Amino acid sequence: MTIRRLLAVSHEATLTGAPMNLLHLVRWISEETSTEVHVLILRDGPLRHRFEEVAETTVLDTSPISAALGTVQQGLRHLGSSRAWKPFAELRLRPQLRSLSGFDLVYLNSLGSLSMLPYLPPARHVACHVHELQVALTTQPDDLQDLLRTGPDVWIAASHAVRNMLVDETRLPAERVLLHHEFIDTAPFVNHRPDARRANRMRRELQLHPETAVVMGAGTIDWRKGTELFIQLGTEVRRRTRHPVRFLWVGGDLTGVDAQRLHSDLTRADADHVTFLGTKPEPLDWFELADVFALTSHEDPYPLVCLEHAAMGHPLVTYRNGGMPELLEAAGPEAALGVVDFLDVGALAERTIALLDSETLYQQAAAQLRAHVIAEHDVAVAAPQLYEDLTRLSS
Amino acid sequence: MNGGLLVIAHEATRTGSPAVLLRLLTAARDDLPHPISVRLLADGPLADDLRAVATTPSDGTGRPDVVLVNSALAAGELWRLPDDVPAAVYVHEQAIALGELSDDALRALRERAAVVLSVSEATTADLLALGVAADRIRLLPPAVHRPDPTDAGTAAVRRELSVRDDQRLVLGCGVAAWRKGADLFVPTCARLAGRRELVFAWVGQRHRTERRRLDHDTRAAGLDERVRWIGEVDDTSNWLAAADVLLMCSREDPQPLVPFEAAYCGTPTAGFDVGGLVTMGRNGGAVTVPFPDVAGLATAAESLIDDTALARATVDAATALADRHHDLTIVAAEFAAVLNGLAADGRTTE
Repeated sequence: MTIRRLLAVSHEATLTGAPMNLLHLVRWISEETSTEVHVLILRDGPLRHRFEEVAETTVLDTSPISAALGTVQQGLRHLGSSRAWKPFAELRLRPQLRSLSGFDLVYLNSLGSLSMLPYLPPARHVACHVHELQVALTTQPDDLQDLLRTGPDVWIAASHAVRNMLVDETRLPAERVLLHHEFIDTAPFVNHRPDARRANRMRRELQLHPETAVVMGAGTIDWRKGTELFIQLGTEVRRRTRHPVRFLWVGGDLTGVDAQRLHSDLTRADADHVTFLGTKPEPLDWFELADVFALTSHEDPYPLVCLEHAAMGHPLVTYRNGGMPELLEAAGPEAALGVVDFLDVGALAERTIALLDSETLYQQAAAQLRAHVIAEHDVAVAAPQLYEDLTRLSS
Repeated sequence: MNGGLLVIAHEATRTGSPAVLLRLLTAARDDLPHPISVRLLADGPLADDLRAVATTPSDGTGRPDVVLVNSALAAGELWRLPDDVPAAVYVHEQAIALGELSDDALRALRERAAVVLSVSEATTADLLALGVAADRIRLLPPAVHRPDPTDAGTAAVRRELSVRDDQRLVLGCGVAAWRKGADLFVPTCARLAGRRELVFAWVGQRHRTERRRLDHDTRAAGLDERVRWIGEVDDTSNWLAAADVLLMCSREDPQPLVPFEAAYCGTPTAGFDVGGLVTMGRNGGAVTVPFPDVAGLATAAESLIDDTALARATVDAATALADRHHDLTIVAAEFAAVLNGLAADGRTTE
């Protein structure tokens, strides 16, 4: 039995983890199977064109009327309305989603896409890929949390941490919560060839001495990603070593309230060796500057950026929370040394410095991570396993 | 109202600036221009006490001789009053909080207020950077409330937290939000958690978003059995007295009063070298470390727990500073003098 038609719903089309993971899956299914895939994007973004390259794609709210109805719906929800928004949701969504019928499987990618379920024509089966952890889940409206429990037939957990939460805290049936770690297309990262001229230009731009090591962070600028913990790490490392180490963060909007707070922390900490670069159109070029990647998130299920850096041969350090310790501990003993207790900034600084100081440790940790990511987290390996589970559900 | 003093307060929560206002109005009431009316822009637990200071209700009509706006957040209200009424704004904010002011409030500080009262040198520096003229800024350090803990109350707090005699209480205090650095309290406690005799608690309100985040961090750090988030209490005196050390994790606090109140209860303070704690640290009234060195802060707290002579000296230096700069009688007299001077100008203009 195969999946004849699959509707993949993406809550947005940003260059962030969950949509990127879905893109990899959709591309693989389209190229390697006979399943017809249709993508529904709830909020437009730069990834839309890449979805359109691999599957027929519908973007919600492209007409001014539906966009206006969406604004009213969201406004009423924010005002605390428990029911008044529903007629607006009906008016907005039913006409747009009516044609999306006859699917064997609706694949809801992330909690943000769950809200479509009541308005989609019935499908034979529903799967929800959960890329979120506790704080992200508990800040969802109650009706969405209920829908998470009652809507899908099966749930895909992005890491053990997510699965544990869904089974132990959300009380979903364990046998129907499937574990599939996040995956990427490793080829562009593994095959990435450093461009010395470009790297020199970027280092000059950042006034980076050739001997200065770079510890990198990446992601949006908000509480979840722990940007303030990245500054803490930067100041702690500076206190502990005389060697020059620069901290660079790639990504995020540098204009919001969170960024303003970040800059005030930087000033207060006199952390002129920590730089937030903002969103970069070609992040891979910037990743190339990294010696070590530091994950300082408060909450992160299984960030793709860690897989990307691991594929590039950069060792990782992380707090013991979320899903990333699973990767480091599975990769090998030297890679696992990069895991320290949550919020123990002294230990995180010590492990970072150890990697920068010891070429042997550095090479061992990097090789273990790279090999593990290629073996377990490449789309060519992981997508068929996920597809097989989805096929089993459909049959 | 006609004539007298109109007081406009941005809120009546049990936090620093409304509490300071209440203290000053109560102490200086007889010496202030009369009648006194009080207008609150938002309610709170101190609302009744603040309104009780008034000698006439605030009906929004008439022309006062002088207006006092408490905290820069409400400064924009000055544009609703006649242009010729002299006004003072008592600024309790610093850096980011000042940076987040509305355009109306900023313009009022720069152009409308005759006198801008500043709680600390740090605030004065930020006001100057915002373009407020130096000759209109007057330093008025907030008056410190002398807490009145009781043995029974202190014992009740330690019982509530299950703190045995051989254990030590590490306390945080304030609205548990970004500015007060409640997020930094957790890693500092994590650093100290190896010492099983330490008990950690934070007294102060937690809003919903912050509560979720702090609970997450506390749980993820394995501290849910060790760190207690108490919430808001009517009176912090017994909590400060029950503590063995006060942890001030603030990122921004132009002139925190809690360390002085804690010192009056015999409890020393460790904190980051920011805002008003810079002066305290320089004068030995607190042990301070550079922001955001949580490991250093943990070490500072330990030194105060382990070294009773250091703890005693820190407390003594802090109380001496409070007596010298934050005595209610002295501050209230200055407060009344500023407002009476402005009222005289107001009457002349009229």
